[in-house]
Amino acid sequence: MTGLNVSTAKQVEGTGATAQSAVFELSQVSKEFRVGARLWPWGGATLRAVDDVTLRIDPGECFGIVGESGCGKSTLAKLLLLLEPISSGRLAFHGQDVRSFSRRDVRRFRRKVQAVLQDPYSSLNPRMSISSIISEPMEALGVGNRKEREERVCTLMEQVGLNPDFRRRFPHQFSGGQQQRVAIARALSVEPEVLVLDEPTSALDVSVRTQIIRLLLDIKSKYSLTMVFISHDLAVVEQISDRVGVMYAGEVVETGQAKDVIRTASHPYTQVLTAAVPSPDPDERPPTRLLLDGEIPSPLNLPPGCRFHPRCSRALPQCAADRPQLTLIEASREAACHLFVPSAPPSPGANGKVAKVS
Amino acid sequence: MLPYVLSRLVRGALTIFGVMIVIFLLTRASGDPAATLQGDSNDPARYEQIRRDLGLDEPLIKQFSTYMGDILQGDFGESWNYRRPTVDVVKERLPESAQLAGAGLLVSIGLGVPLGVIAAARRGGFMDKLSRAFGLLGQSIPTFWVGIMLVLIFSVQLGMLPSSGTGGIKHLILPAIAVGWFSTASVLRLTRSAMLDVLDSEYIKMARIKGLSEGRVIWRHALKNASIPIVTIAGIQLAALLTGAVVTESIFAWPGVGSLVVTAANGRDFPLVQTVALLAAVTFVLVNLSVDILYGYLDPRIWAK
Repeated sequence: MTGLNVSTAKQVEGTGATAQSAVFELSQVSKEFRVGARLWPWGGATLRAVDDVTLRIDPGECFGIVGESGCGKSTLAKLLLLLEPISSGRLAFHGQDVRSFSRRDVRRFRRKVQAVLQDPYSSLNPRMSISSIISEPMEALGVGNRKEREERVCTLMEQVGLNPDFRRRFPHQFSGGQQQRVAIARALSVEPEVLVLDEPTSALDVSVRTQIIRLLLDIKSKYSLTMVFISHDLAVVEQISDRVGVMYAGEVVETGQAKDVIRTASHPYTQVLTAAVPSPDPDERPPTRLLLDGEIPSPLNLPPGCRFHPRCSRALPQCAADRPQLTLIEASREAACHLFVPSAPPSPGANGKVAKVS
Repeated sequence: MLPYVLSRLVRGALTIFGVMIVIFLLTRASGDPAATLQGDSNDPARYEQIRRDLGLDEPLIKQFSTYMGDILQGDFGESWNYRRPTVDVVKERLPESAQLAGAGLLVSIGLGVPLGVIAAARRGGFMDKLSRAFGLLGQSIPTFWVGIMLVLIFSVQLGMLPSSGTGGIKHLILPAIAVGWFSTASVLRLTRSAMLDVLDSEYIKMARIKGLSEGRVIWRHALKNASIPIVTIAGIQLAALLTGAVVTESIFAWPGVGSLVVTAANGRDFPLVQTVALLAAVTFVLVNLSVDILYGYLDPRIWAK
């Protein structure tokens, strides 16, 4: 864990000296979509789904990304999986800019980075048997021969708690939890280095959810995987993640050790978010009940300054004008909030980042 | 699977029975065959004689039950025009129609599916725009105009291909394009929209994450899942082509079932019209049944329901 602290600090300094050790390194990554009437080039509007996100994901850690629906966390997952090109900024995988990836680089990347998506049923091709679903990544990436793959399918199915005798069956013959196990087995089939999990438990029943989390924890320790775990469920994220990033309206507003961020939130938004989680312990009640007015801002029309200021109870005058940057507020803890840099006027060079150009 | 097929067979039989009633009544509402057959002579006695011979003096319900009874015994009646069993007359025309239908279907699937897939894969791109324009043209330009234009250009102006009749591949090209024109457009549009639907799904996203090549994602994963609506429309097109590419056959003087039924209807040849209509109904039911059975192979979920 100490390694993490060091690397986080260095990232904030913006030296980039540790670039080769990070699995993913994002600097000011944004993703915009053009929406609406596209008949003319000036028609429609720009939707900012991911906005100036800077973070790094280190080998072997599980990085949790939390936030409300529509905060851009799934878009971020798509960017990490190279399903969508980034609009601006830099996304590096093991120090190499993904924009410079050749076809072969992408293939290598696919072998190293696998994913489990939210809805297990719709992410399995209904027309393929479980066996061919699990073995297809190996087949596509040229791993083993037919017999070896078949054996590996059985091993994997056992590993994720499925009876290998069912490998000739089709996805619709399985329950949601079993389907998610199939998805996990498929992701593990090529022995990836990174697993991106986009809300892997939110489509499941609570009892099944616990089983899947247990399976993921098990896999994580067995394979020493790097994981990116995206969820809106803070309890689940706290259980599985080493570090977390909290997202609001496309931005990362706070990062740090999972327990610290969720137990003692710094950013006003994180405080509201964590206070909204009901505690399983009846004796442990949050001292004050924090409620938010208003809605999460539309990504089509983001407020100036801090994205959260219209709803923030502690907003300062400069919050409406200046956009706070992620700043180191204590060891391995960053927040993007003016409350933590009371004296310093926001100067672009202060934390090694350039001012946003729009 | 057997109950699935049986239930569809029963439904098919009911459909055919319904079609028979409708056709029987419609033909009889269309005019008086006795007057047509009588020709120029104005002899009331002869008129009555013809009516009695054809059984038209009987009440409708009696006529229909006789008709049904004969059919159940395998007797489809005799054509009033040709003075031969209708089955024989239709049988002669059927191979020609099948040939044209096959060629037309080949054109529409061979062009429509690949163009639709490419259009969906390159959504918003040049090929997409071209395909969409072609789809729109295909569905909005009437077949008769396409046929006449083809004859005008390729037969009259260029003299490359024969304008009518049968005999060899050369005779087939223009009618096949004319008859396939409309169905190419519908197959294209349907393929495109089915593919767009599938390409949006999570398992396509997943297939890309797996590291599959884009070609494999589109042609194996996506097209297979988009195939149900495509097979459906191909089946409907085939049935429609088989039982009467009426307009095309008339333009190209193609001696198929389509031109036969036009002549039969004009001549008030009720038994012949009824037999062709019955054939059409049976063809539709059988094609749909095969399509339904095919679904089960295309999508393992269907038989499970």
